Amino acid sequence: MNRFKDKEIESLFSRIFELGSLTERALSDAIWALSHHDKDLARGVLEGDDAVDELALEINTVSFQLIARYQPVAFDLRALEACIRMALDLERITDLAVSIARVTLDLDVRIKPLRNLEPMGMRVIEMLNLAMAALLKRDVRAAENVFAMDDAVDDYEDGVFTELMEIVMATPALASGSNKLITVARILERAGDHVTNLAEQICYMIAGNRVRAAKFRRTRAEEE
Amino acid sequence: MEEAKMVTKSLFMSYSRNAPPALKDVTMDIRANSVTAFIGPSGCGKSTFLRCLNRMNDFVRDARITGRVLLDGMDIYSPEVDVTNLRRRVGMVFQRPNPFPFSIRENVAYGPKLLGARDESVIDEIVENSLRSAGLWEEARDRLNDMATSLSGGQQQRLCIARAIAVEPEVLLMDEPTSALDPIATARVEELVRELKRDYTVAIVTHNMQQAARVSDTTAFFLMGELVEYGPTDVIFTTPTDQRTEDYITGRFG
Repeated sequence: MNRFKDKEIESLFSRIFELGSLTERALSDAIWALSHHDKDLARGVLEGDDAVDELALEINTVSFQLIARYQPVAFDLRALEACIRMALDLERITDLAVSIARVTLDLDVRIKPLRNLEPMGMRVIEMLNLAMAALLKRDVRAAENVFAMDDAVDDYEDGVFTELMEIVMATPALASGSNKLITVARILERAGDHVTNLAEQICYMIAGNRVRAAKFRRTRAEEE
Repeated sequence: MEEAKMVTKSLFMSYSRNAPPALKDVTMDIRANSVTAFIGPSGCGKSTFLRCLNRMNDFVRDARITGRVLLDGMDIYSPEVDVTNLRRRVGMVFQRPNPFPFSIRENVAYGPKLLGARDESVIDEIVENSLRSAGLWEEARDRLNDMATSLSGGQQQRLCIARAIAVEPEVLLMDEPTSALDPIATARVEELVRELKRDYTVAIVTHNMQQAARVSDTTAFFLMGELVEYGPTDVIFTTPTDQRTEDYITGRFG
């Protein structure tokens, strides 16, 4: 009976990993498409969204079925809660990737590649990969490292704003395109927040205590 | 948080001189007006522990007990304790309903009569109140003179609970009280357990972990005579501290 339960929870985790890799793919494609003006790739991101929604829904359905059938407690209960919430966060990150792809499709001017935007996206992807690795290895320390990485994402966002400001001052005609890129920076910042949520869920699932990401982030005083 | 109604201190118990201890160094507070559940695999000592709380183990000839069991601060194993009075204060409900071969009314009236109640109107009142508290009044009021054995299993178990509370105990010990009942009767008894804690202190042994999770405020996990973990039920079933507790409640034990 428990072997069956263990197997079903394991198979749920493998679906989370599958969702994680679809999400990573969507995000990296969205960023590549934006920086290389690749509208075909951007359309691919839009098309991939349905599969992600379906998989996230399936994870939720299966989690509820397992709760109903096994009345899980302790780690099992935390694992199922984590799966439900992680599926939601991953699905949201994919939605954000779709928003970035839409910006690419909308963008009618060519703005030179920004120094900060692509690295910002890469950083979020790195966080996502680290969170998934922490989940795979049940490694709280690795999940906690995700929190601090979000500081760098914020720095890149500031960098993007400064760069775009300079561009608009030099070429006012690029104002509308620049605005769209500011939106992208905002979107990536929110994607980073969702990855932080993932890491919080992973920590709780493994260790049983609620960690707050803020504890691992630099303080406002340090920022100044 | 309510104060402790019963306290055990370094309780050791073995069933005979050469037997390994059935309880090892169990120290626990049982809080007043709460439900405390004892869980653990067969032979872990949870029923033995429950039976130490009203000296049911006195019936085991070679049993040896060291350590202390306090009821409101009084050592229940001290020589001057009147064991009959102790068992009135600390009542017990068993695994299988065991009504006496009398009428429903006589089952409930038995204890109070034994304690000297003679006035029939007083006894009627006790019978009604006890049956009400046990959630059996509505079903039994029109058949009080029927044989107790004519009741269903679940009703019989509630009758036994009514019989236990008719003598106004302070603590109710329940040893797997629903293991012989169907799910509906089980649900009624569980509901009753939660209501009873308003007036009594309840300690319950259960093999059904979900039952412990549903009815208790505090859960104690026993393993091989040891109290492994003891704490708020909400914590035990979401974030237990000890790996052995985790393994047991998630069914990964052994």
